[in-house]
Amino acid sequence: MDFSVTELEEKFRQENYICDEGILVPVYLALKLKKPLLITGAPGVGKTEIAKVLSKILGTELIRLQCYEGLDENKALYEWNYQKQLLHIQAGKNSSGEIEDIFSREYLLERPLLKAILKPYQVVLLIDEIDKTDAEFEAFLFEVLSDFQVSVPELGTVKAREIPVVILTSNGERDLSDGLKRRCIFLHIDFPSPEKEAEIVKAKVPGLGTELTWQLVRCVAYLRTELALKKKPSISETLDWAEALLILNAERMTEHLVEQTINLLLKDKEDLDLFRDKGGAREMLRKV
Amino acid sequence: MENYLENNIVRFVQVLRSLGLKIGTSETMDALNAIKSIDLTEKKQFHSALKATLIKDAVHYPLFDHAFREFFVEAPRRESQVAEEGAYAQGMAEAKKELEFQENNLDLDQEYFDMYGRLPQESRERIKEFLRKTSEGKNVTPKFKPVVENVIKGALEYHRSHADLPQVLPVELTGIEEIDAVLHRIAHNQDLGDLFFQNMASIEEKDYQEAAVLIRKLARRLATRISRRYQKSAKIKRIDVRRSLRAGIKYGGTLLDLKYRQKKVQKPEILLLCDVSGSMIKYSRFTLQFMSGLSEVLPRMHAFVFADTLEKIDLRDFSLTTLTESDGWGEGTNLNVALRRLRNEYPGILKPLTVLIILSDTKSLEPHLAAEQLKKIRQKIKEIIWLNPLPGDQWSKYQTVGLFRRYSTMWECSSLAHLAGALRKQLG
Repeated sequence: MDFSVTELEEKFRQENYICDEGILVPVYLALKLKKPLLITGAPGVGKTEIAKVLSKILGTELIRLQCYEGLDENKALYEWNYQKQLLHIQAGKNSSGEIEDIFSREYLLERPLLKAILKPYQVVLLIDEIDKTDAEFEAFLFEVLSDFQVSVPELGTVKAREIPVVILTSNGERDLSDGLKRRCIFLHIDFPSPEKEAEIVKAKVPGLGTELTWQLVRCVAYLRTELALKKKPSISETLDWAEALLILNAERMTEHLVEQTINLLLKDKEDLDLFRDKGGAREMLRKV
Repeated sequence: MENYLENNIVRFVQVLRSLGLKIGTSETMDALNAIKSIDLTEKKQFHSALKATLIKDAVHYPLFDHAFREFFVEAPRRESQVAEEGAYAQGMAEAKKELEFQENNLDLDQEYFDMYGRLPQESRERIKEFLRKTSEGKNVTPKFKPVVENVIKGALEYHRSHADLPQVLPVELTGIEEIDAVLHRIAHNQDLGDLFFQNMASIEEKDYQEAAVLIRKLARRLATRISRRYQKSAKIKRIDVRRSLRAGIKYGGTLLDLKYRQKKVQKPEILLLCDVSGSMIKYSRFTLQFMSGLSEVLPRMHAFVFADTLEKIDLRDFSLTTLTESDGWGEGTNLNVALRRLRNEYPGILKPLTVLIILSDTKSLEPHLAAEQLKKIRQKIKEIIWLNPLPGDQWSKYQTVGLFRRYSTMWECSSLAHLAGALRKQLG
């Protein structure tokens, strides 16, 4: 990787990912120091998007491991294709011929981690929502990420030819282990300022007028800061709202428009009730 | 150390550690490697590089930002800061000179000189006058020096606990003047705004809502951890033959997909006892809010408040102000009365799965009787966790701490960081 922070910023901008040094420098350091990057933040702030943008900038494949509760080594690393093996054994018995090795690569189901290790070129490995797994899986992952080699008893030890760029994301639902955190470059993405969010909206939804864009981001800022919401609207919801206003040919923010479209921002009944209790669209437009 | 950038970063890491952040050598090495890759003339890049390598939790960001601003000072402000550091060093030297007994310096830890330096002039004059009169006293020999030192320490502790010396953040001074000057500035800056590390007693009413938001977030994280801890694990190695046979049907009877017996685990029953006397009330307020956030994952939780009596409260709906302003509530603490009432009036609560969490600074009337009650309760329940707002380095000065520690696991708990950390280690 042969570019500076400024050049990286330009490449991110070309992919329509608007961010400042607070985000760029940790990404840059993860690439330079060849360390995993752990990104935390509320859902919808752009954590997964960084991995996608990086894979485009580096011109390489993105391999994604989507984590969930109950994910284990078999689903993350490899599994034998038992059905195929059984069928082969059955077929071998019937023909009375020799049964070929059923523990060869042909019968190996490569899951994302093994795929990333076996690639002959550097890939971007995205381990999404690591906080949904349990501590045991985390310990296993930690071991794999330290050495980038895997032992398959029947095939031997497989070592990565090119260390992948590893991005881990977390919604912060639970504390991750100190061992994992200490070995990663850490980045927390918070909600952007209205100015930054306006830039993002202009880049992603360019058809919306400047005045309406500003009203939109100020409304979102009001919701985030003035109301004690259970779930604050994320950047992706801001963009959804911007696209909805574009489709509705809105020219400026009105109470009626806000009432019609507020469900794009507030996805919880309690939050909607709170919004209305605090004066609803009228109060919001008065304050912004 | 000479003033090279690498040495400055190592000193900065020392500052962060003194503020309570756990930073290992590997993170320090990462930081040193990181600064080689960035443009050092760009302060924002420098700040982001250190933050990304040294800090691994977003709740620590405000403290890091504050420490960074105070340590890596830009040229225009540097002159005034050097002057401040010089004044601090001079203040320390003066404090050491003033605290003399018969022309010998008192043998006190750095933090006591720091405390003395921050006292109002009137309090300092009283201490100096005491030392002068004692030094000149009849038949007073140098052998009295340790006694005098203990008296001075006691006086300074009294001033600290009675708010002559406001301290927003607990810090561990290093004895290195340059670093301690920075720590001193950070610890006494009322505009820090980092509620996570701030002493709960110093959180002002205007920050209560922000504190409540932070507490909800911390409680949610711990609740998820507790919930997962008590989930049935698939990793237990006792095979469930019946379920394995049923799962093998799809493989023609071959037992390829083994199922395991799932061990039933039971969550603890929490019994919370909060001291609401005098200065303890703020600690109790925030602790009760925190525990309320855990009530979903720990449904069998009972909460009581006590001062010189005991009262059961509903965690979903409580008002400490109303309670403690009512008749029958005094300013003192009597844990013996509270525990005796608990045993007599609520015996069914004390079960083998019960975990008793007590929030108190141990300063109670009838401490020996209270310890006896605690011993009897300990025999009936799973364990006792004691959350103590007193700084850990002062516990040896209080007999009551040693008394109650015999029957409980005691944790320092003056900030939300302490509270979250202690509960995470004990329950998570």
